[in-house]
Amino acid sequence: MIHAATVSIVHDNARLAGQEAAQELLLELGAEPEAVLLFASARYDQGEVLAGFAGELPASTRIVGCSSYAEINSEEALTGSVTAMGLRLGSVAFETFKLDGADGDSLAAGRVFGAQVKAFEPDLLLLFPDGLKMNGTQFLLGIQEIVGRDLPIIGGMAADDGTFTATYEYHGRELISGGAVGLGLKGGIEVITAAKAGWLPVGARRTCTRVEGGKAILELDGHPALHLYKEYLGERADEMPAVGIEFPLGVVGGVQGTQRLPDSEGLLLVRAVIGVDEERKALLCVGEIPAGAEVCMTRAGKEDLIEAADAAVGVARAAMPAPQVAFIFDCMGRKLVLGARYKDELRRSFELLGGTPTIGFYTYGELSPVQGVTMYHDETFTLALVKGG
Amino acid sequence: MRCDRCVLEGEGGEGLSIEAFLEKLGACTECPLLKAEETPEAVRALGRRHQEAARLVRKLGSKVRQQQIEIRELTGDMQKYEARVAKLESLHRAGTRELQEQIELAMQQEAAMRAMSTPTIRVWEGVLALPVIGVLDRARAELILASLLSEIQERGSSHAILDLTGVSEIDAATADHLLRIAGAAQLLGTQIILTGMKGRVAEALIALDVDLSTVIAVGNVEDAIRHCMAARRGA
Repeated sequence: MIHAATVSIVHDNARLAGQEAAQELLLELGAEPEAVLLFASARYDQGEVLAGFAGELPASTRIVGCSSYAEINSEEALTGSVTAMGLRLGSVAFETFKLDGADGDSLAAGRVFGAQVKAFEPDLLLLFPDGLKMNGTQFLLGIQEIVGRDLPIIGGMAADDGTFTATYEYHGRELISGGAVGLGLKGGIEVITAAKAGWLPVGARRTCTRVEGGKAILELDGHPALHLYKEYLGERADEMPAVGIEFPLGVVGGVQGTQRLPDSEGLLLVRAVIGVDEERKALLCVGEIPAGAEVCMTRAGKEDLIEAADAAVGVARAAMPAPQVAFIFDCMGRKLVLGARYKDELRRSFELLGGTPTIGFYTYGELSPVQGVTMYHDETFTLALVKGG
Repeated sequence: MRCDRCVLEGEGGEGLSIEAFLEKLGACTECPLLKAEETPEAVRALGRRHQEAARLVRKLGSKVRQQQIEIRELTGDMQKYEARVAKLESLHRAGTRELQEQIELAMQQEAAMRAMSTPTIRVWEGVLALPVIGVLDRARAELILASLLSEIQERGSSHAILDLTGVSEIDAATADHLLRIAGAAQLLGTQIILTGMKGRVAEALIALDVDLSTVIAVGNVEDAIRHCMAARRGA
């Protein structure tokens, strides 16, 4: 039986935010946690938060987490908090993992990380790679090469406050940037996952005819990608690059492999546009889009996103009526699109989860299985329900 | 958690503000002074209640700060929406202006087309000719009537030639309207001469089963002019 409690603290002082979160967690859990998931708003000085938080907990408590755009606890989504889940795992065994950096080769880094994970042979891996320096798709593929594609991996890419400057990962008392951390669980656990995007394809499909490094799209159908994208944005084009996150690209063909959304989505993948290279007229994505991929523009209204999240929770909850913990990893882009209504996206989740201890954050890319194989998502609502024996 | 310096003993708590004193005391959950067996129950109970109060204050403080952030977010969202609404309003204004200009242009074009669709030509003294080309529907027949009657009134013509060479067919209602034109012209003292009538147009007129004696029909405009000249000479 997994025993968990989640707390959130908002404070003007980063160290005190960390301290108070830890103090509250100890009281809420009623015991010292064996493991803790920690997500702290990137608005805080990350070193101060971690020092304040870890200083209040026994040395034996294992801390894993990362910086976030916004946080999710058992009751609501909130901004500017330090949110932590304390876990007492009973008969479930656990191990934490850390990789300091990728050295520019995320696939190789994934293999190295995968080797650590494989040695523990977990039944579930919670994974938090760096959201800016790590190529999430390649890192995941590297891990899957070593551990196999059947291991359910959930989590999200560490985020910052939307400036796309630096993201951080926590492992124990150590703060790193550019790496990845993880928590593996094994021994009599059941996991149900769901992922739903809700974006709709719009307009003609175009082929990515020039892509650099998997993330910079220079040309679509031989034309500068930025021109076509701005044409689509119309009067909102002058809000670039910030507005890009609200209008992701939809991949509709030309990609190989198992990385794809369920058929019900109408899109194979969603890829957020996080910036532009004006000089080269390129679109910069956080997730990978290979050359040859067929893409289209997308749009989604607030209701489309809320309905997608509701559907994901409904499916997961039907499959596991009495979860012991829930994890929600949602995209920061969805929060931007939903604006003042971002809390509505989770309202139904909390109704259906009925007080189940929950934690999550708004990410720079989500990791969740689809049809049995974990994939890297953008702009997607993902949920995992877990129960231990 | 234990405090590093006791705020209850010695001078530990002296000089601290009441908020700092309560915060430090609240954070010390393992205080031996408050938990010792010899400590009076009332003091111990006070200590417990203080811990609970400190926790409540912490939670409330966090909640207040959270709501301050949410207010700032909402204000930011509102400003963004305001800016977007202002932009949409400006686009709407520009769109309306453009549409208005297009409507005016369309109206001018329509007026020009109307004028072109009913060109009344004076072919001889007291003789008007009106060539009709294309589809002759009820709306156009009304236009022709208005134009023709206006010209007749203005020029006092004795004859008006309605040339239907360019009309391949008309419906019953339009044929009826054509005869009304002839009737109305007759009342103003003008004889209508139909020319260039195609077989299907003639069929439509016959099918009406009305008195066609007010109308003269000849093969072409030349014959019609000849007829007018003869009528003048006879007069």
